[in-house]
Amino acid sequence: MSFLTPLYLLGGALIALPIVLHLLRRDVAPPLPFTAVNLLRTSAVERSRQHRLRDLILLAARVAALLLLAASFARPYVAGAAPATRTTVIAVDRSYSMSAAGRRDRARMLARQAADAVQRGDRVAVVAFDDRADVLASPGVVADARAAINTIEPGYGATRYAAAFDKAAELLANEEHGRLVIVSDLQRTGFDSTGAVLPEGIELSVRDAGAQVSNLSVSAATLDGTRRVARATIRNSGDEARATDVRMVLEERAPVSKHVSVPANDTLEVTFDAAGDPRRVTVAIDDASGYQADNQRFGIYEARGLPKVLILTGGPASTAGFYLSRALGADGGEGPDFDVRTLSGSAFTAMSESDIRDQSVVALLSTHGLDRRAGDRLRAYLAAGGGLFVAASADVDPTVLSTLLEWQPQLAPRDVRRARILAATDLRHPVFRPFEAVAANFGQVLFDRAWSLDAGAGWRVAAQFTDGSPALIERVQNGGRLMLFASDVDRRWNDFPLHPTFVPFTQEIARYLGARPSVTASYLVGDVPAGTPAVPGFAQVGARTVAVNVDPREASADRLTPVEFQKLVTRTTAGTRARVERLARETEGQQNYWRYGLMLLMATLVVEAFVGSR
Amino acid sequence: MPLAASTRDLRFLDPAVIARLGSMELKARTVVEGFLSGLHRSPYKGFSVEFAEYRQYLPGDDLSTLDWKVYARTDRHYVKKFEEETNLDCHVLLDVSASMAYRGAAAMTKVEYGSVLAASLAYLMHRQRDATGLIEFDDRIRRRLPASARPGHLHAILLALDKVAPGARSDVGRPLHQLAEALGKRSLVVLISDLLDDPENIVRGLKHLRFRGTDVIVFQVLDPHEIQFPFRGAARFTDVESDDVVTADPERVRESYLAAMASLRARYEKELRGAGIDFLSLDTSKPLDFALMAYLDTRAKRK
Repeated sequence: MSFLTPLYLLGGALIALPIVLHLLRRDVAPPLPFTAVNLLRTSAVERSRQHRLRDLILLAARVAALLLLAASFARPYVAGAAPATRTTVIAVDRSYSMSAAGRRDRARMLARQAADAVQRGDRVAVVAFDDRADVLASPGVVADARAAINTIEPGYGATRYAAAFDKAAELLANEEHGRLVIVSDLQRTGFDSTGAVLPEGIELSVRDAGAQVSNLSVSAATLDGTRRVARATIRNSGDEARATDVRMVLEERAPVSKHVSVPANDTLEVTFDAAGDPRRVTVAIDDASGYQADNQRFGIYEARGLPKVLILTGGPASTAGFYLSRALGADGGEGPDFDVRTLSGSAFTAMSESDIRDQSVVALLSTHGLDRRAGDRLRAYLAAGGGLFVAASADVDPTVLSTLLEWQPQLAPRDVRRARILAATDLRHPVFRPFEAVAANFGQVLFDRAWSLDAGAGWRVAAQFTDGSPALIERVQNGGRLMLFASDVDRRWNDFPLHPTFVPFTQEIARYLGARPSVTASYLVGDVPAGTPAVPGFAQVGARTVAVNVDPREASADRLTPVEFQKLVTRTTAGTRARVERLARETEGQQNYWRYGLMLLMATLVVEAFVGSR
Repeated sequence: MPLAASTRDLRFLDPAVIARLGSMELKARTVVEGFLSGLHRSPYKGFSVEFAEYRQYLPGDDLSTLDWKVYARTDRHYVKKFEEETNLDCHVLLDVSASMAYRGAAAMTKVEYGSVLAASLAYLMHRQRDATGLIEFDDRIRRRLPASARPGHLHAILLALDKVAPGARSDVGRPLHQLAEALGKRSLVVLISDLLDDPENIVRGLKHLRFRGTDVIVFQVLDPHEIQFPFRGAARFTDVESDDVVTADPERVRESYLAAMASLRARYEKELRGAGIDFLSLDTSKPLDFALMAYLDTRAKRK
């Protein structure tokens, strides 16, 4: 017997009430000295027994009534009363590693055996999985499952056990004791960083369909446009050195081949001349014994540029932005991290919208020369996901700024000329996170003048001055991110640019504001955008040509035993609890024992009333 | 009761009046004299105590009945006429157990009532020249005054009865057996007790006495509350001797209690009378004349 809402059982503690009253009632009668107690006993005992019996019946009735009330509210049900049919989900690996000789057939055989092994009346579902899991046969009869199993073919995806587990959990959501049979070559790489979590109540069986193979794969194919070199990385997952021909095709040109020997369990980089500014490269090898899908790889040239930062100042005569441009343009050893450009307000107004959209960050240090059109551009830029940095200064008019960005209510800071110190309020903020232990160095900066800002609705305070007033606030406006620094960055209101923290501070702000989804030219089969065929090769994504490749991790020969596999599965009660609760609700709803409880309660109260009146 | 109806003045026999009197001797004398006073005027004269008197010797009288001392003083022959022999030993057994100290609504406790009854009997016996003894007992014999007809002995008995103190729990059978073995000649035993002890033992003890040729009169002294059980409201009835507790609602158990009490008294009545023992159940709120009458009745049978 289980209870849907067992907390109501605590109400059963109320039975202490009649019990205590019953015990107290025993002392109600006053003592009375008497002589013929033996005569009284003879008669009284019987009466007393009747009384005691009556009292006990009353007590039992009242206790039972309270217990029945509590139990009815707790919604009792009998678990396991439902018919004990069981569903078995057979999840068959269809990753490209299953293309190794004999693995597909063995997997099918094991899957069929698993299907045949279920008990009469049980249901069987078939799921094929790699990066994702697809139901080939919904829970049903064995014949349908066998038919579905016979259609399974290895694809180009990589093994992700989590996908199979999630699908199995979905299929077994209404099962109290479901079963999952994994048929796979048990590659270790199938347990990725997200882990593989299986609800507690699902029984897991593992069938090993793999055998150790010696696999050669092309794990990388890249083009370096600046150095006119094409590179191919060949990986040998076997225990013996392997020799192979590496063929490279640049664009539509004739293949170029090199014969190489790859040491056991090692990789080899093979380079080819890539003159003529090619943008596409295809590398292929011959490996009949290993996985077929990783014998070929496609590369595409990706021109990478620096994030652009546009600093808006008061004009050519203005010195504003000097320190900021130098800080963002600092060479970190491998060249600068940002492409910094300084413009006047009027020049900004003349920029095209697309040029503005190319900017990762716009730093507004002056409102001079910014007209209504500039405001439109700024708002459009923000709407496109741009990042805007505003630093307070004498050149920034709060009213103009509010008008440009259509802030309501308008920004109305007080210009406070008082020495203050910056304190990084929240070290978890992406701007301050890199500082960690050295964040205290901000305290060495002396701020003589700053805006006293009212961080009202919509603003979030990222840093404060030590007097509690906001120093760095941010908000999201029309999809873009905006940060406002309460003092200037040109050493007029403070000596911040002279301190070591200035450069990393401004660079982190630029990185934070300029962070946007990257546009890549290479996809794995399992990550292709919607509408793009999930097969290796070159494909069109919008106007771009992208390379689609198999996941090189799948080429690994590192395998698990079934026991090791079981150990790597994380069991969770979260889904189990939800499933159990749902099943409990359904079972309780079918049984409705609470109604019988209430009827018994009524009967008990009738008995109590009857006995109590005697 | 014919006797009660015949007595004009029961005032001096009323326990409420007796209880207010001073010494036991006064109480006894008041009871006996009052009783005798009423008795002389009643149609039951045959039960009257016959006083010793003298008459002139007539030819044919037994010469042994001549009172030579009177002849010496008066120079005339007189014979003692109607004087009882004083060879009867009367033993009054008074139960002084704790249950006898119970008093409900009556003026006297049972032991007080029993003491007055014992004193009255002793006074009456003394007047009849009987040797009178007193035994106080609870679960054993607490005090024993042997039977004697000496003039000062009555005083000793009355003094002892004046100082009666309730004892422990009762065991009537035990002193009865002891007494049965101790009595050497035919005697009269008067037992005054509430007889709430084990009836089996009591009856066995009394039959033992009777078997030894002793005449026995049993007075069961009960309080009106024990007879009527007039209590109301649930109570924890605590036995004054054993501390046993019975919790009961009197209104619910009264009927069965009264039946049990009636059954007990009927059992005594039946078994004792069957053994030739006089039994009389007394109510401490009622006059003592019933008891005295019963004594005289038994005494008369011994003539």
